[in-house]
Amino acid sequence: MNFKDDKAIYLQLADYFYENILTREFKSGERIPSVRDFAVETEVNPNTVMRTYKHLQDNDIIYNKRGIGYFISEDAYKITKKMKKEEFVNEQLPEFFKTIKHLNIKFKEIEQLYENYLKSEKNEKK
Amino acid sequence: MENIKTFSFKRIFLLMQKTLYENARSVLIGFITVFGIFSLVLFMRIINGDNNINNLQTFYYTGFFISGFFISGMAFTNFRKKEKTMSYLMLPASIIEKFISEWLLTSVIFIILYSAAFYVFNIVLYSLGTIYKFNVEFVNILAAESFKMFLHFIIIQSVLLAGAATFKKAPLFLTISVVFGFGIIFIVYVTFLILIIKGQLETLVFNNSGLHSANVNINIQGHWLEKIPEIMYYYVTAPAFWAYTYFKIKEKEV
Amino acid sequence: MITINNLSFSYQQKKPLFSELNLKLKKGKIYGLLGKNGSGKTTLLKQIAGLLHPKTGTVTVNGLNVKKRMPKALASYYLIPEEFETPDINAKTFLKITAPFYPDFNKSNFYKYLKEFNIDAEQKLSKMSYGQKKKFLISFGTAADTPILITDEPTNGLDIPSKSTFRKLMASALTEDKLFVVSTHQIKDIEGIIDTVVVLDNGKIIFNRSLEEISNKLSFKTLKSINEENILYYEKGITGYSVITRNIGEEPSHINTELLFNSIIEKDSKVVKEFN
Repeated sequence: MNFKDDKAIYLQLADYFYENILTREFKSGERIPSVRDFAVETEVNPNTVMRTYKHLQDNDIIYNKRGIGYFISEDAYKITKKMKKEEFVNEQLPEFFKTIKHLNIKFKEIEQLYENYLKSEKNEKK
Repeated sequence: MENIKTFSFKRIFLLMQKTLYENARSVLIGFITVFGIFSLVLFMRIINGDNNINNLQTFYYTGFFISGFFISGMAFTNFRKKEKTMSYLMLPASIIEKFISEWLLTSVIFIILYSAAFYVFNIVLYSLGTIYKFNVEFVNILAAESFKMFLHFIIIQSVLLAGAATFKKAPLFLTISVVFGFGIIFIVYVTFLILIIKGQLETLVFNNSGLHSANVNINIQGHWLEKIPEIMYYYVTAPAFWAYTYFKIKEKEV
Repeated sequence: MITINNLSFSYQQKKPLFSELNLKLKKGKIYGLLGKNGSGKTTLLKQIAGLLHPKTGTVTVNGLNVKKRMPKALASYYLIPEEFETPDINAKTFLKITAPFYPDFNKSNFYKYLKEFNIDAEQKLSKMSYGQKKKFLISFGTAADTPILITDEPTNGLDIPSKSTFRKLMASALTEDKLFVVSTHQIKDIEGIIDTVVVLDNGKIIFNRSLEEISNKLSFKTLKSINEENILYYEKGITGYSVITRNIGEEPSHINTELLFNSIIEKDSKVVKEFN
């Protein structure tokens, strides 16, 4: 896994789960890798992974079945979506607004571009 | 982790095994050289018409001391290199175990291995003798004389062992040099001491018999002083140098 | 656990290398030991391994004084030095004659690690390249399963895939009762794998904090200008200033270990003071 410089590694690992939950790659009730396996896979200190899992647990994204392992929680998708939306609205959107204001881009234009994007995404899936 | 004792015979065996495996080649080369030289010398004698090989005993003793000294110089071979010293010192075995294993290898194990090899050599030679018609004497390896020689070897060897634990490079050469150096200083010292005591300093002459002339007139026969050199040699030398070697390993830093 | 109490040591009479050095390393962690060239990282590791004797003070591993070189203490750690000599035998034979000294040695792990590093167990160790020897030693040391594993510049001489394998090995071998020390000046190689930063400078341990503590206390960011109040350290770069500030309720940021190290060894370091 390649790490970026913008966030603590344990949060970048959490993002990996968020992304996979949002794309429905990881489904509710599914078991996720053990701390050790995930640490080996990502070449990260097991204590850091432990911190990620604790963070995910605190946000009710995963839960721990004692002696068995960690599982994606029932509401993981709902919670992740809400959380990520909030993050987007609070962090990325102001940046986005700032940019379109500077470049004087109309909302109509954006709408058109977004529709094009959805279309091309659909085509790609076919 | 299980409870690890400070002393175990198993670890001494493991240490010896490790040293033998890691130095098998040098030991083998050494043995081949010694017996190769024996064969060569004997071969030359036989083709020169000497068909009575009856002084093998001399070969046995000479070869024993020469190869024994070389083997002793190879003791603590890890100390020759910094990196090897590190791994040797960190190897989980106590200092006494490390000392005993090196001592056993370069004395007892060596004596057994060398004698066994010589015995085989003797048999091979004897068989060749029956074919090519020359007489071969059988050396009695277990003779009382041999054991006396073993004892002398173990005593002298303790000094070489100490040298091997001390010097980083060429321990055999340096040890022998130091011993000779001390020997000369000691002889000169004793000579002068005796001469001063006897008031004969002015008569000191370095004639043919050299420094020996000094003890000609001293007579301590029957006196307890007479026993000192013997006691020193038989009972003090080896233990003193063993103790020194032990502390040398203990204090080794790298 | 490694405990160093008031350690003083010098190679030369007049130039003390360590003076009154104290350090406590706990199990369940991977420590990154950092220090400038000549700060004495290797010497400190040798002190821990009992290869050098302290002038004053004591070094203990799991409560045992390393100076005595008792088998129990020696079997509780394995040191992979930066420079080493390997005998004229292959890995298999080395295993046979050396592994029995380590009561918990895991043979199957040893062969597994060798395979991961692409090392041939039948090849003579003396015929291997420096990198291959190193990989062999890392495999052996890790498989020895000692409570403490100390490595001196482990990634030095390893190619890129092997560095990755090394990190995987560390991640898989760390358990709650193990303690790893990785001494290096190539911080980038081990950034993700360590969880505590230890800095040796001027004969003392001047920093010993977990990444969690660091990211809770400090923020690492790039700024266009440096007029913010809480700046503790900064370095000028092309895109702006790399800055360490106090973390006041911010989301933990990515720790720039190189920047952190530089900020720690700075004279009268504000970052170090922040933790005291």
